[in-house]
Amino acid sequence: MSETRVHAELQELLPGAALEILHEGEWEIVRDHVAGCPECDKLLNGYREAAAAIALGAPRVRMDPQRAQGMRARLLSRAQAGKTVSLPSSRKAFSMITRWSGWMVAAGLTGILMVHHSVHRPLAVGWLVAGLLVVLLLGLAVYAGVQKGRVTALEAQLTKLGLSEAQDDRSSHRRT
Amino acid sequence: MDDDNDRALLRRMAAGDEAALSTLYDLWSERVHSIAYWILKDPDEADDVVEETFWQAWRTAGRYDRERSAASTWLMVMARSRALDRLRSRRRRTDWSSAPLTLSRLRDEAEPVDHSGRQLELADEKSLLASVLPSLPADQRAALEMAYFEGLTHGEIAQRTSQPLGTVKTRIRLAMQKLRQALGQVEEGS
Repeated sequence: MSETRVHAELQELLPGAALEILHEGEWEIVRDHVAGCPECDKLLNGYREAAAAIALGAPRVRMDPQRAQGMRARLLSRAQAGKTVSLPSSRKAFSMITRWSGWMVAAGLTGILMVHHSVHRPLAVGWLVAGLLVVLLLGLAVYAGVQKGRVTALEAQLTKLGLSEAQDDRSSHRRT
Repeated sequence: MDDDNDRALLRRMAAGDEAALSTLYDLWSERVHSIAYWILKDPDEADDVVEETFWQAWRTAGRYDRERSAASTWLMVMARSRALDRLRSRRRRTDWSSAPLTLSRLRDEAEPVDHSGRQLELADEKSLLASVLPSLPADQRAALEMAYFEGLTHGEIAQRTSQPLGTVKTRIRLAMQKLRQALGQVEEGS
């Protein structure tokens, strides 16, 4: 089938694509074609504008002012909560590790040097213990950082769950 | 211009400005609610769609491309998608049916009457609904109504109307072409 024919046939699907009534397979074909065809992309946008104009022209149905206010308050609260918990905890932990990475490397090397120094004849138990302690402390610091990240993640999940529960309560209250 | 204002709000939202979300909500929530209501015919579900739409807008404002569409188009497409998702899900769960919404019924109901405690306002006289849709041939308008307000696929419309699939596709395409051309003329004229 020639490219021109494919192009013409796909153009016939564009109104359906704008109305979101195509089957998955049809939509995928249109999407792939539009991605590489500026003409069809422009045409699809034109159809989307037309579809949106139907929505904009529909008679308005006023919202209950109290409900509208409540919804706005919930949205803003979610937006604020989203901002405070938006940074994934793993990233927070990672950024903390990155910030302290220089000191961690230094401490690790010191520990290794101490252990290395201790095993030279004669065996210096003091250096060995000091080196092992430094390495142990370093491990504890990393472990604490990871655990802190997990706690933050759980806190974020609890915040989200709290919001969901509030929404569920609202829905069930409204339907009763 | 209004669209410039909306675009500026979306830019601010993308930067995390909650005040912009609040302003956008004040400007557009009623429109979003209206289209959701006309698709779902359920005020409570329409409210849910409003919340979902603005939440999605907040989360994805950074992806809005001003070169591709007006901010209002972006928002309305999102609102209609959310409403259709709910409608299709409802349809899957039950053999749900209600009086199909027709554009003429929509215009009739556009009279300022009290409707289940909700007040309707007449749409802008210059809107496409008021000017172009009534001029579409009845078969094209009916096919468009089923696609737009019920989210039916070409095949489903063909089945419901007992028309060949190709005929349904042509009707919808012609109706959309006329709307697009009319919209182009409105924009050129304004």
